[in-house]
Amino acid sequence: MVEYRIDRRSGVATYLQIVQQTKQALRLGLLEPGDQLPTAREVVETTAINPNTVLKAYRELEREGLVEARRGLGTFVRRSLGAAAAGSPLRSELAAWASRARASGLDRDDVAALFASVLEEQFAERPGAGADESGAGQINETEGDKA
Amino acid sequence: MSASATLRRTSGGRLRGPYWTTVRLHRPILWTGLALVIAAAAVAVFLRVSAAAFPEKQWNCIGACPDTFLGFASASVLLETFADFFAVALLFLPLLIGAVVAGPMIARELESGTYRLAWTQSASPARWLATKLAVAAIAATALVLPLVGIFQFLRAPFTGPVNRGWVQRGVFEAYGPVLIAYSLLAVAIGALVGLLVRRTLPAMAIAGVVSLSMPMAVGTVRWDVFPVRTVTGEGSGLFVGAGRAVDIGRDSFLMQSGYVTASGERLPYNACWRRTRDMETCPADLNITSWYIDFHPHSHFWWVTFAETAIMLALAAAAAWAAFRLLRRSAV
Amino acid sequence: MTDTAIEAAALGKRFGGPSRSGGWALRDCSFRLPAASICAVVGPNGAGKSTLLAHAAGLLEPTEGTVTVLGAHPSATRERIAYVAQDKPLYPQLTVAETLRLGLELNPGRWDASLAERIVTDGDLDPRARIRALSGGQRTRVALALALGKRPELLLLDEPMADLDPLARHQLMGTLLAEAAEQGTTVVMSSHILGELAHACDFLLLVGEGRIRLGGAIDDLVAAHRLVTGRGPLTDALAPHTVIESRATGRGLTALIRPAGPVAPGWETAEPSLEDILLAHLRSPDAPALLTPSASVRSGSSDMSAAVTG
Repeated sequence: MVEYRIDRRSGVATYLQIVQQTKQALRLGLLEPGDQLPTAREVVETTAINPNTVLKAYRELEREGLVEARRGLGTFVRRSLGAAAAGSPLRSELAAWASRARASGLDRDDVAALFASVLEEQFAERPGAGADESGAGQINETEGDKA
Repeated sequence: MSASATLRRTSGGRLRGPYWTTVRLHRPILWTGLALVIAAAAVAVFLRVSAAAFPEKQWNCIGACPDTFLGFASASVLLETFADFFAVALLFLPLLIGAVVAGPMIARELESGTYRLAWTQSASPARWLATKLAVAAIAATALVLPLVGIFQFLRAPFTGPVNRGWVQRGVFEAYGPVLIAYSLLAVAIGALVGLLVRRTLPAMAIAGVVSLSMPMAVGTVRWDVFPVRTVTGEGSGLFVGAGRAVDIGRDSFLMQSGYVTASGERLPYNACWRRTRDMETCPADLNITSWYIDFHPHSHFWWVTFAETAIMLALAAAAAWAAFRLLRRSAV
Repeated sequence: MTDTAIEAAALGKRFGGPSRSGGWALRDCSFRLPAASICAVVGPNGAGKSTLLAHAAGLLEPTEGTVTVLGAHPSATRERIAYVAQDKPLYPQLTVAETLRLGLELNPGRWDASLAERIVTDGDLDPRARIRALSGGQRTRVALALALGKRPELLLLDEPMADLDPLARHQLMGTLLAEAAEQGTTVVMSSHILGELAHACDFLLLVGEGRIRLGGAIDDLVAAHRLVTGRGPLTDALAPHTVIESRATGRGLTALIRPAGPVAPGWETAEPSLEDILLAHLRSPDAPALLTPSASVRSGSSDMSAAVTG
């Protein structure tokens, strides 16, 4: 079961934080098809956010085909996001690139800004894709503003 | 789970709804009232038993009597002194009741803000006030009745065949109905003052003074206001107090007596004595034609009791009505 | 049933009688709160938030105008509302258990004992402890247990979380919102700081100097404003829009506006946060009020409320 942590200072819309954290859990294999998401009541009780926000996030995940709501039972994962799962080649390539960037003297913010600008270039032609592929916490801010 | 069990444990028996709330909130006051009754009963029993167990050995001693009972001439004297004190103390019950209703029961809720808790439950503010009035009225009656009984028990040894005490302040009220009426009036006054003043201590002071002033004021004028019975007779000779008195009944209460002149003017009882130093001899220039006596026969006791009780209950109803009106204006 | 939880029409309240001038705590307040909203009532201290809530709770009679709660006069809906005043009034001589018993006795047929008990035991409160011995936060917990145990349709909370430590605040707010979501309860919470309420609420009333300055669903309010940054002079470019506040930033200008159409090119626009909007309005007391359609009084129903009150 995933547990959501809402960062109230991040500036990212609360429902987007839930969407992103769910996707992160899917990518990392913490959630697999058939797993149940916490009920809206459970999320509200642990995070003290508005119930409608949770429902909005779940609707968004449903719209993207990642989860499905089964009446009276709850919300269940339909498919995983395997592309960036831990240990995948893409992730190790990125890790290698990041360590090179660090070795060449870039700090965390520089790397994040660089990554964000490349992301902007590569995915600019796909409207609405912003929330889709964002994973790491540092780039949430730019993504959130765009959404 | 023990915490939950404690939460579910009920106390207070069959009381329900606002009655449970009101009784629980004012439980210390109710216990105090009960303790008062028990203490009074204990003292009364002690004094009656003492008076019976230690009959008067001597009285009319010159100087200090050699054998005393707790510093009094005898147990009987102590009993009688205590009974007199008790009659006066009973008159202060309305003060106590008015102060308690006005302060702890009503004004404290308004002062501390708990009325906002009480008035936003399912029961309406009118129900809140009605419950408080009902509990206070029942409690006041339950306090006054036994105390009245205790007083009658205390003075029983002193009421011989002739009852002269019935007109006395304190004794008259302590027969029951009148004192209960004043106590109920105090409840209503307390509610009205509590809602008006909205601060505990000033409300207690004002309600106490007003509640006490009612029996005090009425007690002063009671026998003057109620119509007297008058007997008259020809001449000036037969006069009360001279041993040849007209019999007005030994338990009657004489209000006024004197002479009537030819012009119909009433002269005081000592009009002749002032001139002649003799009650029986009247100067001719006074033109006295007859005498009169104004008095209350013992039968007036019940009339006055009935009238006074009715008036005080009517005042209590009016004060309670005013309290509900006031509540409607302060609550929505 | 009605889909409106609270409706105020030209509501005004003056304390201290007509002789005292300028004693208006509320003036000309009109708004509608849709049922099942979680509403934040925010504004500076003394703005009239408490007075507004007390009217909805049926504890104050309006000097002018009307307030309707759940479709009826507040005095007719006592059973269906719960109210927790700012100072959390409770009877100090009662124990915690007796306070919950009071809730049962005064709300027969509605009382949810297990919910009230859960809220109390979650805070590790001794049921036998007297209220007078509790800390401010513990009293708040008992007051909320009393309010929630009633299973109200409308829950009015005046500064509910002020006395609580962050952990208890988070936990109680979670319970509150979960219960509200399950029961479809409308919740109104006042606060002089937005803080945690921003994430808990979906509806907002900003009260200032006795008036409603902003009212509506938070999403709608955010969508109605834009944060613009640019280098031009203020007057020309932003003239068609309602400018709430503008500030010089370096060589340029940052302004919060309510756009009345497309913003002129050359200006960078961004969606403001709720906090941006609130702060801008608080700094600009003369900014015009905004009620979104969902927060506006419907003329028909206000006539009905007038009839009920009359």
